Amino acid sequence: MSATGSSAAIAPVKLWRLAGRIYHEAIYQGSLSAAGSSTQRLLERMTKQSRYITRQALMIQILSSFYLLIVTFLPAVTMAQLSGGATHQWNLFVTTLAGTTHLFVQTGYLMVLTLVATSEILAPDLYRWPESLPLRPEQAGSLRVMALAREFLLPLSVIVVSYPVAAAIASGGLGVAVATLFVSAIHAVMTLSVIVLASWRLRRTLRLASGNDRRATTVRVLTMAGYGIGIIVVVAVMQFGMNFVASLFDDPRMTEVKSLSILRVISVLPFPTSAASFVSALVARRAALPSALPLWIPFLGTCLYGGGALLLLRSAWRLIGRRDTDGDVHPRTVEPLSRAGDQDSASTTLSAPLVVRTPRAAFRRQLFQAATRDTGVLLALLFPLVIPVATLTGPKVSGVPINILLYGGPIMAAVMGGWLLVHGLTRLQVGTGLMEASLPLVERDRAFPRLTLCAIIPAAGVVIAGLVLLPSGLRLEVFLLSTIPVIAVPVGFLVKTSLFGRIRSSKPGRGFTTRVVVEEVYIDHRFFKWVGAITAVLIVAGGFIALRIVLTKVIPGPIGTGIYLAAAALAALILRFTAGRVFPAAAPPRDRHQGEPEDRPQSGDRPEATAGR
Amino acid sequence: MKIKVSNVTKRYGELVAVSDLSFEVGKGEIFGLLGPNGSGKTTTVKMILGLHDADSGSISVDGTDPAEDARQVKARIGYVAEDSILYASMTPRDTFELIAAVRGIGEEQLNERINQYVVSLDAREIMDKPISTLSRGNRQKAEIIAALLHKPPILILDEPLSGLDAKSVRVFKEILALHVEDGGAVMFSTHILEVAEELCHRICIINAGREIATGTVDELRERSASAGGSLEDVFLKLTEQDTSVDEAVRVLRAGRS
Repeated sequence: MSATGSSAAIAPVKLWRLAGRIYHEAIYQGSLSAAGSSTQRLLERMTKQSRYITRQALMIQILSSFYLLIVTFLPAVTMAQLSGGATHQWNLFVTTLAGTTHLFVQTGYLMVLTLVATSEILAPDLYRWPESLPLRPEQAGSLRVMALAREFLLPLSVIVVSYPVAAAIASGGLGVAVATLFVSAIHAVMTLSVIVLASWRLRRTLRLASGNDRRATTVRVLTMAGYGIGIIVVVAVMQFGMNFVASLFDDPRMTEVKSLSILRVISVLPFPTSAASFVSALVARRAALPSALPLWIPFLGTCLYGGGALLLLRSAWRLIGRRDTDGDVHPRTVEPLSRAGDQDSASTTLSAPLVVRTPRAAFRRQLFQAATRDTGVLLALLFPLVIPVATLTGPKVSGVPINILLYGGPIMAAVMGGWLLVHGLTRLQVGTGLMEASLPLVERDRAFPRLTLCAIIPAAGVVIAGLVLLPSGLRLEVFLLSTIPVIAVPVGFLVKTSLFGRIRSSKPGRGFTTRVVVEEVYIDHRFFKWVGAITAVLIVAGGFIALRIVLTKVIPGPIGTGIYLAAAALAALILRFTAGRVFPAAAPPRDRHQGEPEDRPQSGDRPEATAGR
Repeated sequence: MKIKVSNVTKRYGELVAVSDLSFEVGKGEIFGLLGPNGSGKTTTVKMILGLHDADSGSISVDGTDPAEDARQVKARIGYVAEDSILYASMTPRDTFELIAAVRGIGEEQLNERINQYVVSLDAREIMDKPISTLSRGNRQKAEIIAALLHKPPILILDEPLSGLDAKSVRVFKEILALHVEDGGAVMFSTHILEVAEELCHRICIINAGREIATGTVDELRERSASAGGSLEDVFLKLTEQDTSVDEAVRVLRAGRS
């Protein structure tokens, strides 16, 4: 980065504010790349709320810090449960396991959330305007550091502070807290360095990657699902992690002395175990538990970890300070020109030929591609899978009757999962649908792949919840009840599209014709239309659950199951018939003059190009 | 006739967007539809595509009424809109594959045509980049290729040259020339009047939804009494904007003193 050679310089306070603008711009670019069909909505929001991106940036920091804090509960609770009930080796092993998991999750989670924004901050585009300001060269260099500081100050502070506080509460000792502060500071340095190095390596891929680059797609999807992953991790830590650790402590097989050599090895391993092992050993010493592991072993491992973190920081610092990035990354909207004499460019064929699919397969593929660039579509496809298990885990831990869990799964999958899915699959894409409106497509080809997903995904959610939360003896029942969202959610889709997407065309003297499109065309009475769609889902789901309960009580056994399956099959047939009416097949070819023979499509074109499919 | 628009009127509530408009586009013809902003050009195009219904009058595309069978009409038209209509989150490759699937183009034909257009428009580098990341010119290349993929007998082009570099403009003009040589028809809308003057066989000027004049450039010159004048002079005179231009120039010059 170069700066204009002026003796006038910007004050550090103003430089800090300028770095804030760069950080916000990085957030904006990241939001834009994941907005997909919501791009227009995002721009409208920014027009209406002048501080929209500032608030977004703050919200991201607060939410990510919250998740980082919650994860610390795992080692805190584990350390608090240290007792003389089990062997000392086992105590240390369990607390080390919990601490390591916590550190690992913190690094991974912060990386998922910040990779895209950090790659934007490291790229040169955001500094083109500040370059025109009267900055001294060293100020220009520190601008990037400050922008990174704006991004990481709060989450890294949480990482540094949370573990010592947890250790202090668990052990009741200030000395333990101070020692843990040393550990968590090393961990924060390592986390920051790893994120900077990964962002640097991925910056070209993330910012300019081809749409089909798998690495970029994976990172983008993980980033877009970051908050979803956070929620799942929090639920997992709070419910399963702590129960698992508690059960490990109580495991009667572990009362004998075991695996001392393994404990010594993991204590000296710099990453990821030594730091947690050191803290565990400190807490155990404070609790006056008998020690079989000399403290110097995990301390040595932690020092090695610190040395490694400093080496990583040095590499990251060099990259942050590099000023030759202009040559490394092309600006966002300028593609590299093909060089004269380039053998590849001289070729008259593409290296990878294009593939033609059936229209339904093509629209299904388009949906999955949209999920890699549109947070809304991604969450719509992912959340219905986890909603039943996420919403019913709490009640299960609280000990609610098994029937609530059994029938709650299909209800949650159909209503909440169905609502998210139908909403996500009927969002209007950028371009306001004009491209598809200009094509001779049959709406059925767009609607049926969506209907199939509406049936499959919530049903899979019910099965997952059943497998995780219910005893194995109820598996057949779970599979039977998974048919409920298969019927109910597509019903919601049909009702919703019929209410929002019915287009009426009139022709003088020829009456009206109506057709239904997938997207929302008429958004008036939005609330009541959604109430109508969800009510339809509830009626169908409730009806089937009532039928199953009655059949179980009145005709238990295979006959009742057979009647239920027959009812489900009948409902599926009615649904298929109704879907065919709402989204009819193409009209048959018309028997009339269609232009001059020489104007017909070229030989080799499929007849469907001009005739009805 | 490829396109026949007869006495078409379209209203949006109180606003009359198109009023009693008539014109025809024949085989092997490049027809220019010119008019100031808000004159009804886009509404007319959308009615031809079957996206809007006319309130009165009739439209025929290759003998088919778009209000009756829009799919049939869309199958025969290649459309380049003024603003990008391709999905910004998709790459040109994915877009072309989707269009081929919907239009029923065979894989061999698709790759043959893609190679032809991609090489001639120098668009190899953009095939796998998200459309949102492309420059205006490269995005326009993707729009043009998308409209040409099914070798449509009719092209409707709304500002097709925006953002294109000189070489691509030249190649695109050649594509149009070959298209009309093969008996195709082109309906062309642009604000760059020099391009319209160079390319169009006939021009229809509309203003406030009404047809002002239709004919060759020479016929329009004659009609506007602008002998020797450019199409810009003719256009401004026929749309009665010449006096307001003079007034604007006077204000600007007065502001200097």
